[in-house]
Amino acid sequence: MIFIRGIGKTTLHALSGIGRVFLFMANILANLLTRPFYFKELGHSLINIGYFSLPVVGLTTFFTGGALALQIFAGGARFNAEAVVPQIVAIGLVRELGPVLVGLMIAARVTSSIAAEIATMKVTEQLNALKTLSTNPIKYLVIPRVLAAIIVLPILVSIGNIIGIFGGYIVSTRALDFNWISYLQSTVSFLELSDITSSLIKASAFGGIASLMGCYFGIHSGQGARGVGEATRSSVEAAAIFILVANFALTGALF
Amino acid sequence: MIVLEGVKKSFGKKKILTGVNLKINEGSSLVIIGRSGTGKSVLIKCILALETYDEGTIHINKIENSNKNNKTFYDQFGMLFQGGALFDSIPIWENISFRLLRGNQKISRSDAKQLASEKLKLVGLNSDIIDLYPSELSGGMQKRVALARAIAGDPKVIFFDEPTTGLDPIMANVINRLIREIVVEMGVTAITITHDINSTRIIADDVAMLDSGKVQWKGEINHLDNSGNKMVDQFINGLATGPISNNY
Repeated sequence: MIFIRGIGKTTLHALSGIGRVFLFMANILANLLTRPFYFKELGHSLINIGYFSLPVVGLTTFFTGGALALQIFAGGARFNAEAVVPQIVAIGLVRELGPVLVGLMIAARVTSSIAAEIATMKVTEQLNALKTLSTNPIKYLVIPRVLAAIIVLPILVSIGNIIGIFGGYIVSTRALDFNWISYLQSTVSFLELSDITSSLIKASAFGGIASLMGCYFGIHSGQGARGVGEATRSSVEAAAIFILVANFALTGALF
Repeated sequence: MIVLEGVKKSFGKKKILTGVNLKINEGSSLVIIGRSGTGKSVLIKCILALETYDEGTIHINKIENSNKNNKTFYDQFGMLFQGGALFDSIPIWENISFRLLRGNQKISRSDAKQLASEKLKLVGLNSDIIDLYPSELSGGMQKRVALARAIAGDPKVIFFDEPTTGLDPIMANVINRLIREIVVEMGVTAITITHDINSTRIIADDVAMLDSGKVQWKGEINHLDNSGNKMVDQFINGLATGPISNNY
């Protein structure tokens, strides 16, 4: 009986949490199209989330592309299909690994940073100070960050895809004796527009999830250093899980 | 005039305010005293609509307080937070002119910087710190910058939440006198919460004692020492025994 009660309590807690996130989203949407607009804060967020994430995105996708080429070569050799390396690297990265890995890296780097920053502002009464200075924290802090992530993630994922394919290309042409011209031709001719659009749609969705989780847990953090720590941890966990769930749902929808 | 009638507020089972009745006249300086944890901060957050209250009414100039559907609600207020609550990511001058760089009272950046410089002088700071960030200032300087920010939009009502907490006695005295000067010169309504009796004697025109979620005594500062209220006597003399409960 206690076990069943525990399951029920956990389920209700999870559902009420999801409900609160949807209410938070509704609050963002209600404030999205009304003045004032904070374009300077949007610009800062674009630079913070986009430009400063480039090194981590580049390194992640480069080494993933290289490792993917090695794995596909080893697997393909079991049924004499080594030649499919360029095609599988390209489609694997563009449709799946590029958006998911970049999304997860953004969850680690940006979601945690947003949650910690906003939670610290809450603990030190800076959120209340914003209100008393006639500034809506949703408009000033949340909307610029969420919009910036939705806008910039497709660009980051596109760059990540190119770098990942380049990683596969370097490994394939240097270590696996692929001809560089035929490798590039195979990659370009194999990819379809739908592969790229699905990658970009996923990227935008993951950007929205990552920033939304950071803002939500930051705004709803508890008090003190413990509250900031818990908000940061919860935001990254929630962002990573929601990104993987959304990836499954979007892959099914866009397949 | 600010009028509170029967204001009640609980957090879960814990009753913080159990029916606060209070009138604050326009242009007067009211200091709310009471032990730590008696709901002084919650009370001013309720007045400022930063917290919702469970029962009762709060009227500011005959209009019920609400930040909902009223974009200019906060324009009439200035607030000095206990910890300063300066924004770490922007320089001092942008902190001071924050309200004036956006929203209904927007002015140009050059005018805002000029105004920040003037407000800094008003609180006794040199304008050469204007481009520094809050973390580069001492606690006392941060408090003064926060004070400059609170008065920057020429508010009609200013709230001071424990203005001298964490300051040395000399700096605390400087801040108290600054607050008094600002209140007199700007002619604003001021509401200060503190448990510092020295601050109370400098800042207040009127004093209200909050305990057990209610206003236990209210009167002019001149009557504080002969209030006839045992709670007030115990509090201002710092006596360990008396009617004020040791339980929170």
